Amino acid sequence: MGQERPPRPAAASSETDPQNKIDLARVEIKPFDRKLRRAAFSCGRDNMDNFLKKSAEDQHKKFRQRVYYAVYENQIVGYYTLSAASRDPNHISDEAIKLFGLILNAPCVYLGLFATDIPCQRQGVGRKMMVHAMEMTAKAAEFIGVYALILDAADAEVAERYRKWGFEYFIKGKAEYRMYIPLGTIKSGLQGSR
Amino acid sequence: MAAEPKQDSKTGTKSRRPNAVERRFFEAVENPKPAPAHLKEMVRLYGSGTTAKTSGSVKRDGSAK
Repeated sequence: MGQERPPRPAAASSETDPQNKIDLARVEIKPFDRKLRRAAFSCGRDNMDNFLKKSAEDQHKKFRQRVYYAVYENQIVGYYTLSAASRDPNHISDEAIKLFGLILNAPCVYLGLFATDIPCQRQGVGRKMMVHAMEMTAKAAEFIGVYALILDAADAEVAERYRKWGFEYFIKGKAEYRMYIPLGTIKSGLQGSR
Repeated sequence: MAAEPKQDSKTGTKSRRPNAVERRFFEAVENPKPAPAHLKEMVRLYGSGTTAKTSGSVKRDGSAK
């Protein structure tokens, strides 16, 4: 298997060796493409690697999740998934219904998986994918109602990074990292910088 | 402890007052904070620049015009 594997776009020492840094301007975010080789991808979390290798194609083809790649030099350096989600209707109260109209739940976009290939981590691929995910959420909101982009951060360190990007905790201080960023905040970010 | 749900006599739907988490979520959606500088910088560096121009139907704060 090692012989079949094409050279990776950046070495693990990319943080210390500037020559191994990827050129972010040439990283493209694209929808799932079965022609791109998935076997070499590794983000360091087995469940995310396995999803890409075993389930991504099926999920994307059936429109259960949309899979987006970060592609650099024809190789996958990151991926993320988006799907429709809602807050559990049982958690929506009369008061909330009064506030938000006659709806029975709060429609959201769920950023399910979010992973960067190990050699390309800490070089901005994740930030680029996150901006793309927010742009896709804003686009989706033009056609279907969306209250927020939500996600489950992998751990406290990752959650803290998302917090700096504008995400808020549903429940802070507990061992769960479900977070959201309201559509209005996303719009503010996408429009306010221009 | 969660409040006991009350049942709507017409629809049979059970509902209750929102808890603190729900209240915070809905308040944040209703009155979204401006994007932090960090996010704006990310958008400046990595954004496609197309989304903000897709439609004029949304105000800067995300609410409908």
